[in-house]
Amino acid sequence: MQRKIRIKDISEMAGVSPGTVDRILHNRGNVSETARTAVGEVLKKVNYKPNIHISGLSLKRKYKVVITTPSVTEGEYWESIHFGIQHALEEYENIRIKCLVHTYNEFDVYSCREVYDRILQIDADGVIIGLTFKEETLRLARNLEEKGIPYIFVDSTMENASPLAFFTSDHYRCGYLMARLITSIIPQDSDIGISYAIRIGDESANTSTLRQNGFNAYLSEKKKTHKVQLIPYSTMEPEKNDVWVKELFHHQHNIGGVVFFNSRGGLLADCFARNGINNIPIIGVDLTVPNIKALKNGYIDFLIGQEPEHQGFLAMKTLIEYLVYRRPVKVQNYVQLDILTKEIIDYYNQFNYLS
Amino acid sequence: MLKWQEYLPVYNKIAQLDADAVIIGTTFKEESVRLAHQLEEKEFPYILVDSMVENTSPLAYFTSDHYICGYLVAKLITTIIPPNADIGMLQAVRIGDESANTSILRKKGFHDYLTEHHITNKVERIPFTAMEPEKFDEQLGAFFHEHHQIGGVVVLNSRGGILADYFARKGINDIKLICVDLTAPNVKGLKNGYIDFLIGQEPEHQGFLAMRTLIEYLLYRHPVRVQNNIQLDILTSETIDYYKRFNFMS
Repeated sequence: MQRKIRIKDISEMAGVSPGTVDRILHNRGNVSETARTAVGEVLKKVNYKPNIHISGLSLKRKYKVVITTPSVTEGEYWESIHFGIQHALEEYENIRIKCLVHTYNEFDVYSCREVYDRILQIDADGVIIGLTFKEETLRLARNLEEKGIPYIFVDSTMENASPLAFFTSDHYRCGYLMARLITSIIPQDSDIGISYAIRIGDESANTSTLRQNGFNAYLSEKKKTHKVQLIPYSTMEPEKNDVWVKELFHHQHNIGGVVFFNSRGGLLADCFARNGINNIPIIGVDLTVPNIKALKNGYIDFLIGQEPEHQGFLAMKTLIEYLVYRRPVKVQNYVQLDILTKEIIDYYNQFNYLS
Repeated sequence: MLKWQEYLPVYNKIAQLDADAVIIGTTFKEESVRLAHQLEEKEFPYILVDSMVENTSPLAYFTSDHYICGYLVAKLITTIIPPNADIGMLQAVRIGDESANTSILRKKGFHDYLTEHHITNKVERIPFTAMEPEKFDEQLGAFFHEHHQIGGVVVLNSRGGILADYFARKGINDIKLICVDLTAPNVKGLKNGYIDFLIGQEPEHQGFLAMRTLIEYLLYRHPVRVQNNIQLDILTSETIDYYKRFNFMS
């Protein structure tokens, strides 16, 4: 679907030479008023974005951009952020950008620390950070600020840092929404199971905490009396989960539904499928491959999407426009929260923004 | 909106124009088919937005899947109301044509969901006359007076805001409401909490893609994909503030 309008296209449409279009775009040399009007009309018609084309001077400069996120697994959340970043690079293929990708283990704070130390050795023009651990990220942010290196957050943001911009969904609102959805589909007197992954060296990721706060706020605002039970879940030792799940759900319990605050809900759904548990609705976050499978199979009832591709795309695009054109930047940027069900997932277009 | 009697002259006028192409948002089936055939004879390419009409051969069409939309609405309403409650269905009464194409498809999806899932909630039709807004209150009042068991209402066309407004004025907040399209009254109803779920079908995106496809076809003879389904969005009061109608222009 993606198609860029090139100078050649504009010249064809306006019936002038490509050189004329180039002169008009960059305000150089003499151009007839007729040509200017013709080109102007075409530009309006195709919703031309002038930033796609750049002057000769900017072409010569080479930019070094560091991207640091949790490790990327195929079909998982962070891969989508990287896809989006890639799309932005394709859109600005004329600009020479060297991307250095440094990922860390999001369940291990020591891995994060080590990677951040490495990043600080790099003489970067800009950094895109997908954060997990608060203190480590704050330390990285401070160091970058001292060096005058702009950085952009994706997925979440944090207080006390001064990013050039951040692109995230509203995680608190996401948790609030999850509470509303689960309480509208389970019996009033049933319990709600909540779950998030266990991490080493940090109690919980920033995003999960915010979601849980939003979740709790909904329950207390709406005076919901559901009891909430924590369902233990380990990403590092997945074999434990089956045992936990069996213990919990094969005995008498009053859990009407489960809310999974991070993107690993699909694994719980798998666990349910393996153990013949199919009457407990799950609400999950993120369109990972296992989550989508569970949504289609009916184990996940609602899946919340937060447009990671779009976040990555906008982060890289914003950074490029800032570095090359010194475009003014809007700091706070919230992407959409999408509610997906089995019925509409097939029509969902993750790259909607590339129309 | 035009009355159907006004459509004939409009469509006739279009058929006389010396256009390079036509974009059609259809409502009335027969009239659309007739226009389509006239355009085909003259070899004018045309693109349909909002809904597809059978027995026409558009260059392309951009619509949401209305059948699935109705199916989804049925699923949502039946998961949020008690199994013994009734469902009200607000239906526009049009002059000269029983129902718009999109509503027919949505209604079919809605009823198919209920049948497939052995849902026992009774569905009661709420009649309302789009042409006589002064009669809304009377009609709705009579309906709810007669039916006490209504746990939720679905509106399969874009006029649900009328009902949300009625609920707001009458202080009715124990009836769930699911509507279609992000019209201003619907969005207001969603934010006020009178509409529980609103289904969006990206009309801006449909229009954008229709015009772009047409331009690219006329100028460059780009190959065109005929069938184009736009996504269905589920909106709630929690997500509406972040929803971007022009997301595709990022």
